[in-house]
Amino acid sequence: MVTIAISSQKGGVGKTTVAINLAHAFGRSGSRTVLVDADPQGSVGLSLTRQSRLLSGFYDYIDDGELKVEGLLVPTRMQTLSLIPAGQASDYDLNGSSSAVVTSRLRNLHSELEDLGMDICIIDTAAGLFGATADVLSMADAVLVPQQAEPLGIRSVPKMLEALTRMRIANPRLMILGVVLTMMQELLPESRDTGQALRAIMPPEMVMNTVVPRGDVFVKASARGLPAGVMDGGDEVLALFDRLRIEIESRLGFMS
Amino acid sequence: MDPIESWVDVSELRRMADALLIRPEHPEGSRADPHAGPFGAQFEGFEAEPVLGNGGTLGSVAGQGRGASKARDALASARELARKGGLLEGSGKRTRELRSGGLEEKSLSPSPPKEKAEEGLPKERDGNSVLERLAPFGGWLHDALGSRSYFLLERSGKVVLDEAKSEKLHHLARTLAQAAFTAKRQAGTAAVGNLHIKVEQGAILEVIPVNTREGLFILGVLLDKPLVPRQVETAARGLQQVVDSSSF
Repeated sequence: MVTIAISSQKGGVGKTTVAINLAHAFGRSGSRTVLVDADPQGSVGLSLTRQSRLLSGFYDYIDDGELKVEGLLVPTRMQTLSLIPAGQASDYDLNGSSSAVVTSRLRNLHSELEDLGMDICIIDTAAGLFGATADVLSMADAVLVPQQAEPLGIRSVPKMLEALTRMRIANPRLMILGVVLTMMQELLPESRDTGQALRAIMPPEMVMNTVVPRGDVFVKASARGLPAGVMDGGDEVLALFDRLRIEIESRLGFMS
Repeated sequence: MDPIESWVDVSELRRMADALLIRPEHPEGSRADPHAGPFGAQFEGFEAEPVLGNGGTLGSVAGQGRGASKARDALASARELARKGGLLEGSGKRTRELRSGGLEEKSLSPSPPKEKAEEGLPKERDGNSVLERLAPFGGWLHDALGSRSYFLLERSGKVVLDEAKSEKLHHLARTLAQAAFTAKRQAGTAAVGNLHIKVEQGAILEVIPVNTREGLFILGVLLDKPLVPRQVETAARGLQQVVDSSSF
């Protein structure tokens, strides 16, 4: 199983949108995929019914050594895609004494999901590369970094790279898949220029070719916690995230 | 739109990005041979004056007037002490010795690293010793900053980890660090800056005192050229991250 964390230093850059739609794309391709909501304020679980929102999830699993992953999995209409919601327990402090326990539980999570036959685990993390997100990155195989195609977003890039550098020390096998530009507005010069500037200053391999545009369909879908591809007019989104999936698979060496 | 260069240090950003692109399975073999001890046959002696680097947010002894001056004095004393002890030779004399084969190999032999490492090992925490946690640090340091090798000393001078395998470099680092501590005390500042010094043709020893939860460590890094302040900060934070972390 390959675990891919969707993380960024900055909030509001479209992590959850990327995570949901990427997981959906992997599921559609036939890979047994689980989408884990590790963002206590995330919206992966918003599509769940009110009752199922009370289910245990990722943070409960970390807190309670007795819980099994199998009991947390929420099936979706797609047989190959399951969710693990954030759950009821609150975030924890990385600096607390329980960090080793947290790491151990994260390893268990990985191994239980693997035993259940999962091929891909996509983890939607909270903003910032510290605390729970740092713990997730310490056991992930790869990280994908959504980056808003807006001028202010560029300013966070050095901080993001510094944080990833630190994470790479903690987890030397962590593969940096790269930055995926999100919320791109091709007709807006500032947005377009930001994307071009990022590509100009970063190594080409560090910026994904696929760009996620800003669009009503994402806003509507994210409000419901659904993959944008299942919304009306979502065909282009399906194609877009298929391209992103293929890029990622290629970088992971699936297709080399 | 303002040029992006006004917001970010493009070259630094590119360097970090390039380092991150190195595949996790990057072979260690491309690294400099850790057994090829520095401070060896090419040793030229110190450059005219050691540089007091600006440690950025880590703070620095540079530019602090009296403190910096005291640091230079302390370094000059250390240099004199080392010279008297036969540790240092003028480059001309050194060259002559090399040509005539008059240099004793014994004085250049590496120190036994294991015993020293055990001796300087900080206490274990959460099942992972500091030494275990430090295992990937050398590779990262090489990838991120282009280090040839590195070593880590406790504040007391005990060796925690040694890739450089040179007691002379340890001695030098201790001396430089002590000079920085002295300058810090005399300048009345909280921060201790880094210092670097040329140890042979094209080789720099960067000495970076780093505060961690396990106490203060002296990080010695062998490089081709001195680190800029931002790189010093990166190295120090990297070490802090590794030593303070109990999560891997």
